[in-house]
Amino acid sequence: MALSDAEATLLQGQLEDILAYVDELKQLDVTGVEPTDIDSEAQTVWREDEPQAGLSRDAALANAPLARHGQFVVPKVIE
Amino acid sequence: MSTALFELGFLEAADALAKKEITSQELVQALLTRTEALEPDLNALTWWDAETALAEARAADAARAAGDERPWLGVPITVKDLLNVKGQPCTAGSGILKGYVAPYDATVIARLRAAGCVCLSRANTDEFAMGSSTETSVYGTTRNPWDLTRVPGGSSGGPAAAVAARLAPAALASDTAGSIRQPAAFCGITGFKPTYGRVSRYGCAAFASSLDQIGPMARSVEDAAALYQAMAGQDVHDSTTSARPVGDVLGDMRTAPNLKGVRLGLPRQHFAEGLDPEVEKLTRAAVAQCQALGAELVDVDLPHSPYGIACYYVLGPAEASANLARYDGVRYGFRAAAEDVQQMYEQTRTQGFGAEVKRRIILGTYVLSSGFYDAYYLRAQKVRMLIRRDFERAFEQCDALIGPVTPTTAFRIGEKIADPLQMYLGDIYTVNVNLAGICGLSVPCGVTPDGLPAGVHLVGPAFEDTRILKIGAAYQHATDWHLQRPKI
Repeated sequence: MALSDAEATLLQGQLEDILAYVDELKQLDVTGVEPTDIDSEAQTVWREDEPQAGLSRDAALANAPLARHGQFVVPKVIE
Repeated sequence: MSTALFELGFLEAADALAKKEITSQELVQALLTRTEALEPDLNALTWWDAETALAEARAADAARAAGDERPWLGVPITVKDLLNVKGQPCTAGSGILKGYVAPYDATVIARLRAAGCVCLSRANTDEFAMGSSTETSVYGTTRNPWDLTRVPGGSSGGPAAAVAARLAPAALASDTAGSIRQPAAFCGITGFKPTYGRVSRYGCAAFASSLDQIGPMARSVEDAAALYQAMAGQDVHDSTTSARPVGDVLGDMRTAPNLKGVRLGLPRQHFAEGLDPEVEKLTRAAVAQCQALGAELVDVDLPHSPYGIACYYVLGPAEASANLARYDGVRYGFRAAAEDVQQMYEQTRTQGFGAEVKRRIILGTYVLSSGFYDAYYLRAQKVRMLIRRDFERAFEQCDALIGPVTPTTAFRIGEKIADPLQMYLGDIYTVNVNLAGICGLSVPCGVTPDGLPAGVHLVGPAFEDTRILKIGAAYQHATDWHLQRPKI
């Protein structure tokens, strides 16, 4: 992302405030505390590897800003 | 029927349709007429299409005439503009999804459509659900139907305003730090954030995946429970969903008209400095009402609760910065004109994202950067564990927690938008529920002297969703705060 000078100045102040507030976390003693895993019931979820129909090519391309010959089109990548 | 059709709640509408007292077409037409009249004032919705909605309603009526008895056949709902409904736009309130039309149904939508629901309209949200006031949407600010100079809360301010103003009987929304419960409190309706893993997020624009949860917003706890039951349960498309059975939520709820033997914990930290005296008065009156219904009260401690916001403003932006990397202008949505690929990515995001989203992406990438990862992200994940343990200890002493949903009633439009930190602090009582992955319910508990509603917050342990819905329903059977409505 690009920021204008005005945006950068405004964000700098706001982010400094937020980070100063977030620094309150440093008041806590977290020695020996395990970091939270995302899901307390976390386990590997398995399913049968069976082929299933997904979106059709036309449906998948319908939202593309630019598509041609059944493909997403982007500006040239390789010189 | 003597009641105006737009006044019907979700279950009332289902009942009237089942008894053939009304048709879905009449109901949808009444809601569309009201929408046309009130939307210029409210700006609660981002999209609706009368022709599509009436066609779906006609199809539901025809199905019923042919013997179809699906429970929610022909009942309309509004949907937060974050959930994919096949054939309808889905923009997350962002310019970067301009023009995107959903090619599939989110799992929750597929389930409600299978039960017969009509997806009537799309409701406004803070951009990518990042906000507490619905002021960051590319579609502009939604206004609170109780006072048009005030915010409806957020990020689900659109659904909250729409349900409160009778533009739809109920809504589906999402809650990452309070985004269902806070606007429900600000707009005088019921909002429920289920336990993490209870409801599939497949088809919901991802914000912070370890915190996001989809839930209902409605005019009563029973209406919310009906929607919750229809959409909850395991989904192969979201591996965080639990295999535990959901059970007969509505049936269980109707077995408990009082609160005898229920132990309610009052977190000391949620009745402390910063709580508006009028909100406190209404919350304490709700607590007293629960006691009168038979509940026992105990004081509990959530010592790490004051650190929840700081913890969230590390973890939420970190996850958002990863999730939002998918918006690159290649496959869907907005693409900025550019000479090369690098410029395309950069300009698409620069022009497509609004200020709040940019702020969080920058914050998120900063706290994840190699030199700061341990100091911010890892430490926050440890503090999150302390917060989770606080709740585990509290629930050894009580069945559910009770307290305020928000420190204040709805604030004025523009009041906090220039000071993000002040805006963030409003989630102080709700955010920890998401960090701990447990369930929370916001129930209307009165109106302040200046005419603004407040909510009482019921919080339960993981997978005890039915328990807090039962407590909320018992409270609503004994009170009529949820029947109060804005004069709009």
